[in-house]
Amino acid sequence: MTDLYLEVVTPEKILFEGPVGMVEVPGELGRFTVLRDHGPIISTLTQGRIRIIGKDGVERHFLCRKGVVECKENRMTVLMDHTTGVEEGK
Amino acid sequence: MANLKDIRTRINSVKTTRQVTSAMKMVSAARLKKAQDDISHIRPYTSRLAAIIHDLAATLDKDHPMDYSEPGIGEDVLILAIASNRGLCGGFNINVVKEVQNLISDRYARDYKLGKVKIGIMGNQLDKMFKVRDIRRDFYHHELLQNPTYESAAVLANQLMLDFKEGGFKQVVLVYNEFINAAYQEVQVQQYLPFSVPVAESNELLTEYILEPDAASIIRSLVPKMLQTMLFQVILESLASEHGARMTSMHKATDNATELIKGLQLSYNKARQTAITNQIVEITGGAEALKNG
Repeated sequence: MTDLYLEVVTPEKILFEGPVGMVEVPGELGRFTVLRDHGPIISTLTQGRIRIIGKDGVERHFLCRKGVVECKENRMTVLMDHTTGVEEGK
Repeated sequence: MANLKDIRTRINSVKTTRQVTSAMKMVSAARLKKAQDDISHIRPYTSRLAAIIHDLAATLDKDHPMDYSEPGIGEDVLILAIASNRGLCGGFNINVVKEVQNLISDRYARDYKLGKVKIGIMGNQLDKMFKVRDIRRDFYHHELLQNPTYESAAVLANQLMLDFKEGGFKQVVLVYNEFINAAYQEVQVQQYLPFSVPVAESNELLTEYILEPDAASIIRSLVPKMLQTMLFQVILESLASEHGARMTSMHKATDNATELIKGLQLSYNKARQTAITNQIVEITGGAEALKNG
């Protein structure tokens, strides 16, 4: 059983990389949640918060202004504009 | 033979030069490290973005070409040459100049004769070299090399895209030094606009993506992003190459100075020995003369 593997990348650095249990992103047409074995999806992201629950049980938040997300075969990539890649305190 | 004092002065001056070049080498080495780090940070982003566009390109039908992928409606060709604000880095700047000269005397010769080639420049040194060669420069972006940030690169990229769309240019090419390793750079001519879509392999069955909102709007937002990132990466590559080139040439200069000092030291010692021998000959000659007298 493979976990959902997530990367959050900005032009300046990789903000997050690792297996996650759940990812919630602000899609262009509304927020949605991605779990393991999600169908392949590409969506643009709008302003909002990206919520990640890692396999270690830690919850993380990133602020996003604009971006795009791709998920395919349990590999998920979030690309964000770099100015927005701020990790928020819990 | 030069006298002792002259040689000593020269040795000292060469030693100072060597100190300067070796310090510059150290500085470049440190900057190179930082520039390489910057590149390694942007590469994952670019490659992932390219992968997404690649996946998407295959789902698009032929009737809806990607933005910026068709030849522009303008008549001009823009050559954007990227090099350095400073010299002392070997053939770094001149190689770019030569490549641009090649382009305007070969590929774009006809456009150039008609005055339809515009040349944009990044780097003070390039400006000087073009001036000497009497090549027209149309605009400058030296400041991007001083403080390269994604935003400033994005601003320029947006400007280029806008001009391209509104009929300013039919083509934009970048001429820059690609970073291969610290000791080796290669001048690249890269077509920037129209954007060449990564070619999808046809035999691979594409996964049916859920697209939100839809392919066209995703592409519309991704392609400009890709172009911004490409420009930024090119600038970073060029900067890393510059530091690499400067490091190598300063290393060589330091070596040459060491060689020079060796030679000078040898002639200094010879001159000193000759002087001593002469003095001894004089003294013994004088003593002989006294004895005989």
